Amino acid sequence: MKKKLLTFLMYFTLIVLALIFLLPILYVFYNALLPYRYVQTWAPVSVWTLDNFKELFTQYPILRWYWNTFLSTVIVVLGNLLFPSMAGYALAKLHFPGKKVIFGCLLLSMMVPFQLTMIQMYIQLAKLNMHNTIWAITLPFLSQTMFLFMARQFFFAVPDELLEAARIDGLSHAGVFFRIVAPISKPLFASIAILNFTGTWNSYMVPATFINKVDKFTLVVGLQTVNMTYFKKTNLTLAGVVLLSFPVILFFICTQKEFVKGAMSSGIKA
Amino acid sequence: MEVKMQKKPKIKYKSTEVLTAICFLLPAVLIWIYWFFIPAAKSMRLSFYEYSFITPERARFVGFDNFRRLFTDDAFLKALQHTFLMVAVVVVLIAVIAFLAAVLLDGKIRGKTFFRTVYYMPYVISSVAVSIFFMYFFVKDGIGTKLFTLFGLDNTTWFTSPKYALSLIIIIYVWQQIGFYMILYISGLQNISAELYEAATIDGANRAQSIWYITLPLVRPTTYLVVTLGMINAFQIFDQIAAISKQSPLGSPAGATSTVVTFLYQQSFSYMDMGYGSAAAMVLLGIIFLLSLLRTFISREGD
Repeated sequence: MKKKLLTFLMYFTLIVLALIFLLPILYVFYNALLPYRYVQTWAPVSVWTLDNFKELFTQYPILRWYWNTFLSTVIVVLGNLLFPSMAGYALAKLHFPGKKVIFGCLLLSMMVPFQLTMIQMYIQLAKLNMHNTIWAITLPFLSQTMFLFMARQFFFAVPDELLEAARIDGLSHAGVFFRIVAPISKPLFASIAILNFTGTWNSYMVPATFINKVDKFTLVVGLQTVNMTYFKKTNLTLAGVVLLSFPVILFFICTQKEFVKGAMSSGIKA
Repeated sequence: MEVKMQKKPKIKYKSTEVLTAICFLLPAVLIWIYWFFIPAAKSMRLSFYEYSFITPERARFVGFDNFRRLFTDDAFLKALQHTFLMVAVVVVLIAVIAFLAAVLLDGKIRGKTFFRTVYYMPYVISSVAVSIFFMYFFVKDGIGTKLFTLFGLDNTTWFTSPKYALSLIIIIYVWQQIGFYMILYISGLQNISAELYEAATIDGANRAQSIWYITLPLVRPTTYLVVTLGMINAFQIFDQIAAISKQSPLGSPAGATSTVVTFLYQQSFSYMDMGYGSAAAMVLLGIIFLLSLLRTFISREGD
């Protein structure tokens, strides 16, 4: 009897938590489909409309924003799939002097709040005349230390015998990485892809600061503009939220299985 | 003939291996140097100058003046207060709730994948978007506001109320971040061998006792990671505050949500007083560094 009560309590908590996380999202999707008069009420299906989306598309360069966001995200993710993993592999499996120094520097740099670097980063970009371009939000972020750590941690778990066997067969070190190790590192790449994709797609502070030409905005920055102008029009703003979040949620649902596997196995450990 | 004292056998590095290592490390390291190290070093240097981006010729060295000014600046001190409060509450909430969620999902549950996906979902949504719809929940007569009036809070719009704005930021941030830290805990829980639990059950322990005596101590490395990472991230909260400030200056209403980060952002990019902003950022770095040291000490003692 007591066991049944405990189990019930467990499921109850789980479901309550799930509702806390799910309901706001459903609320957003629901209100985005309503005309202004019906916002925050129970409206019959007949009044559901896509007009909010239409209005946003006509008033704002949404497609332009989608493209900016998509392009910059793809560039950054490709960079982060390649560079940090190569570096992480070198730190985990190759032998060379100075490993500890390099790793120590990287570790320390994680503690530095980004905002400290940001100021000079902006000045540096302006000197190169790259502010207000897509390079401002991609170049500095092509290789991020967090992913380097994840990669290094993951590659530690790859058995050395595998690498030695490949070397004996005549593969170069680079060959071992690209032909043998990479294909079996899907969970790592999935993790990096998801974390980096959502992080870049959703980032606000950098695009908002480094870019101020409206046609070069990313979706997030554009959404904040909508929010600032049309906050009272809940349906419009929330439609904007849907436009912004929909691709990421989709991407996440498709890749989440590999991601969870990656999070477990690479063991984002201390 | 001299007798050389050999402490360690000299490691022979193969040149091909070192060459490959260099090639592999080069892109990441170059990016790190050019886009992190140099800007960070320059920013640190900048904190000792009076410098404005629009008039770089008028830059002048002012030594510790910026720092002296900071600690007599009421706005900064207020921001410091808010920052500490916010970080403390956020880290505690996240650590506790994420741990609970992970523990719940660790047992034999049906629909584990479903729950995990749902709990993680808020994390993939932009913080600006999350802030926006939470603003709607906590308008006057909004759903969230009504819920909290049951606990005796005022029925007012949270993001324009100096009393509640900071709490709103905390709610928004925690709601979004739980999923991420929960995954960290789940990963950490995997490492605890099931046999320990079995042994405990045989000895007559119930679920709660197993958690208290087995899980908590063994999950300490993960807790350490969660607290460290959570803290570093919480100190840098920005997007949400910017979102609820809309067109007003950051930290509205009336500076109730100002933090060290919003302060330095405003100084650097609104007032263009970048030397001053850099000094504030240096203070932040100092705080994070000290707290990390403190925590390393504490955990060493604990062992």
